[in-house]
Amino acid sequence: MTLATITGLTGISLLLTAVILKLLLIFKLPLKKARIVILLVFIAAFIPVNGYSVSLYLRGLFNDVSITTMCLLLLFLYRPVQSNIQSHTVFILTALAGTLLYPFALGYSPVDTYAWGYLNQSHGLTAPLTVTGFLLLLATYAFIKQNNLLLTCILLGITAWQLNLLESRNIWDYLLDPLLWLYSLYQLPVIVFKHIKKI
Amino acid sequence: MLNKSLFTLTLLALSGLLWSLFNSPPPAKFKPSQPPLSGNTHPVYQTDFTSHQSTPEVHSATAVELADQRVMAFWYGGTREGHKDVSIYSNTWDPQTGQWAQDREIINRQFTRDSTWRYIRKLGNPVVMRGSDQGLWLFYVSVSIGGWAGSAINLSRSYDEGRTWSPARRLITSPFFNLSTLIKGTPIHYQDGTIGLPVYHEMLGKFAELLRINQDGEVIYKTRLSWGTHSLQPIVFITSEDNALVMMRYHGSGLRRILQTRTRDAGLSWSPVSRSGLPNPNAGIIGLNIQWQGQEALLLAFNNSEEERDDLSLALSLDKGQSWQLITTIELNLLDPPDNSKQFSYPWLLQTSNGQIHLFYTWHKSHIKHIVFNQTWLEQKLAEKKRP
Repeated sequence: MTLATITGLTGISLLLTAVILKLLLIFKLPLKKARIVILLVFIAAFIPVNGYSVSLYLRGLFNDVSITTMCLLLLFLYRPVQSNIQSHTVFILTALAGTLLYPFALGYSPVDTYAWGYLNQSHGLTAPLTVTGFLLLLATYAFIKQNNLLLTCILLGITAWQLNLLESRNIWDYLLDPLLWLYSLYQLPVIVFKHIKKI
Repeated sequence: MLNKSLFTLTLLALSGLLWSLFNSPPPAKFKPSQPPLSGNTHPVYQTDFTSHQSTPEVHSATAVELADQRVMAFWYGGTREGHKDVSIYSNTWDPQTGQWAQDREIINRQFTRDSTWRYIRKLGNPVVMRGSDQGLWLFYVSVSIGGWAGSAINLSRSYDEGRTWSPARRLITSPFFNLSTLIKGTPIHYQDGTIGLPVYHEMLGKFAELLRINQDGEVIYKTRLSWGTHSLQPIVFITSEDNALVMMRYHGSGLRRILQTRTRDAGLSWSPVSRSGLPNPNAGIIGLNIQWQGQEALLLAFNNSEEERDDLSLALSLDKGQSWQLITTIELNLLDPPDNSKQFSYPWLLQTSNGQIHLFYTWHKSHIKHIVFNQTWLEQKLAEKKRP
C-alpha cells in the first residue's frame, strides 16, 4: 500500500465519519458519546468484509478528497458545534474555483483549466507560473485578512503535492474536489444569509 | 504570530514549488517510429482467430510484439459487455508455427480492486505498448459506478514479457471524481521517454485528449485534441518529431466522417477539428506508420460506411493524411436489416520486426479475428483496385 493510498482511504473515511457525526448531532446525541461512535466508525471503515471495506467502496465512487476537504473535515470533527467564520472564505473561493474548473473539464470549451494545474514545463511555463502566482496572491490575501484556515489549506495542499500524498500530480486535486465544490455551492446562500443578518 | 508563521511557511512551500517547476523537463519532441521493411517479396496473407471462445463475448483487441518475435494479444471478454465477469484475456501467436496458444485470463475485477484500493464494477478496453523502459505497459479501463461514462484508466506493467503483471495503478485524468476517461488508440513515444496516451471522455461532453505519462506511470500533462460532444477514440500518426495527425471517431449527426486535427509543434497546440474524406459509422479506427516503396506512408483500418460496422477496410495515405486511397475491403457482410451482433469493429494494427502487419478486430462480438499480411500483399491488392 502506497502513501497516496493511505491518504486517499483516510480522506474518504474522515468524510464518512464527519457525515455520521453531523447526523448524530442532528439527532441530539451528546458530543462525548458521538465522539466514541465516530471513532468506531472511522476504524470500521477500514475493515474489509468479503474483500471490500466501506472506505474502499466509497473511494471507488468518489475518488480521493482534496487536502482542503481533509483540513475542513478535521476542523469539523475537532469543533463540530462551533461555526468557523474563516471557513466562509474557503467555501466562497472553492465555489468560484470549482465553477471555473469543472464545466471546462467536462469538455464544454477548448480551454482546459484543469491542465494548468500540472506544475511542470512539459507545455511551457506560462500556465504553471500563472497558477503559482494565483496561489501567492491567495496566500497574501489570507495573511492580510488573518485567515489562518485558508493559509493552512494552501500550505498543506502545496506540501502534500510536493510529497506526492495523493495519486494525482495536478495541484487542483490537492486544493479542491467536486464534493467540496458542491458543498460550497450549497453553503453560499447560507453564508449570504448570515452576512445579511449581521448587517 | 501564528498567522505570520503560517504565511512564512506558505512562502517557503511556494518557493519549493517554483524550484521543482524550474527543474522539471522542458517540452519534448515526438519520437517517430521507424517502420521495418518487409523482407518477403511473396505476398503473405493468413487469417485465424486469436480468441477461442473462453467467453461468450469478446471485444477491443490490442497487441504487441514480444522479445522472441511472438505476438501477444489482449482483449476483454465475459458473458457480455459490461458484465461483472468481464476480464482481460491474453494469447500468444508463434510466427514459426503460425498458431495461437490458449486464451489466458490475466486481469480481473478482484486484481484491479486489490491493487487500486477501490471498488470495481466492471472492466473494459485494454491498450498495450512497449514502454521506453522495455517493459510491456498495459492500460485498461475499469468502471466503479454507472456505464462507460464512469470509466477510469489503470496501468499494469510486465517486465518478463507478459508472464506476470505488476499491481495496477490508477491514472488520475479528470478533476470530476476522476470519471469518464477511456482508451482505444495506440500510445506514442516522446523523445524524453515519456508516453503519449490518446484518450477520450464520454460523460456529458464527448471529446479527445492526449495524456502525457512519465516513467512512473503518472499523468504529468494533458492536451485537449477536441472539445464538445462529437469526437471519440483518437488515434495518432506521428509524421515527424514536430508533426502529427490525429483522427477520431465521429459521434454525431449530419455528414458522418472521420474527424481530424494536426499539430506542428509536437502537441503543444492543435488545429481546429475538421472532417476527413473518409466515412465513419460512429466506430473505432486504428492506424499505423509504414514504409511504402521507400517512402513514409500511413495505413488506416476503418469501417468504410456511414451507417454500419459491417464493412472493414484498409486505406493508404502517401501524403501524411491529406488524401487516402482504399486498398482493400477485409470484411463485407451487408445484412438487411443490419445486425449489430454481426459487426466487424474496433480494429488494431501492429507491425512486427519482420515487416509483417497484423490486423486484429472484433468479429461478430464472439471472436477476436487476426489477419497477417505483408506489404507485397498490400501492393497486390492496391494494383487490383486500380485495374479497370
